[in-house]
Amino acid sequence: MSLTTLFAVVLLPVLLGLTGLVADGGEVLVARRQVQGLAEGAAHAGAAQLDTAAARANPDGPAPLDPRAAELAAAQYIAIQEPGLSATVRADAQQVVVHVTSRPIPMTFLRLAGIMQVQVAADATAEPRTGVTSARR
Amino acid sequence: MRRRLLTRYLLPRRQPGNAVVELAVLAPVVGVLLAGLAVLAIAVQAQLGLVSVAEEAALAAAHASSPEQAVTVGRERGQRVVALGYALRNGSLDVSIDATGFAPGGVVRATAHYQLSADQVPLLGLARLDLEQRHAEPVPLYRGLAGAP
Repeated sequence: MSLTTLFAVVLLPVLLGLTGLVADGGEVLVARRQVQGLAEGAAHAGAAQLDTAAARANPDGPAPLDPRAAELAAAQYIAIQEPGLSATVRADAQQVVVHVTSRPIPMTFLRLAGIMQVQVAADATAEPRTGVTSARR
Repeated sequence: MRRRLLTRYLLPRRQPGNAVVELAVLAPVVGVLLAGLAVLAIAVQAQLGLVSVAEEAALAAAHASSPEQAVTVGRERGQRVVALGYALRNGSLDVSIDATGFAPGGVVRATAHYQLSADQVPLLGLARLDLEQRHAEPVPLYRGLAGAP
């Protein structure tokens, strides 16, 4: 067996597998970036829902969140995106925690290894910030 | 006698031409595979850039003061500012903003479309890839708007 044949037998399948891994891996990478952005956006939208009555009652303390409004805003942020995403949102007076799962991503090459589809998930947390106590002009 | 049998049946004479032929057959296959890897890397990089372009364009549009401004600001933000940072600069990037839902508590949508041209994908000039990314952004509820529908 010549060296070239050996190369074909051993390295070609490896190279082919690597190409497949890059193709499917790239798709997963893009999906991961996308759901991370959505999770952060949703958490950000939720953290903007302040409990204004509580904030006015205690103007010196940190403004608390309205947990129900925060969860609703975060859920709505996910809902207006393309369908197929699933998310869980938890909020209390201090923070919003969002967990987003992507739609199933069908695999092209990895299905040869029995992996038909992959789902990726991302988490994000946001807290409200209010008030500027001092500023430079 | 035994040595002659071994030489004849088990250890055939070296055939130097074989390796050259095999290499000639294999080299294009390996070349195409490597070019495919490069294409995939370029496409993934461009798609990741498009995710950011769509997000930023929609975000900028959502913070505009009017539907017209949302379209202008969103396109400007996506097309000029963000795309350059991600090297999406072959001139095919198109950012469109759907501001029909622009109102306090409404939604604006951004769609970024980019075409990887044949000279950018090293696959014998045969490939042309169309990439697209969408993002929706809510317009903040408590906003003073000038000219919202």
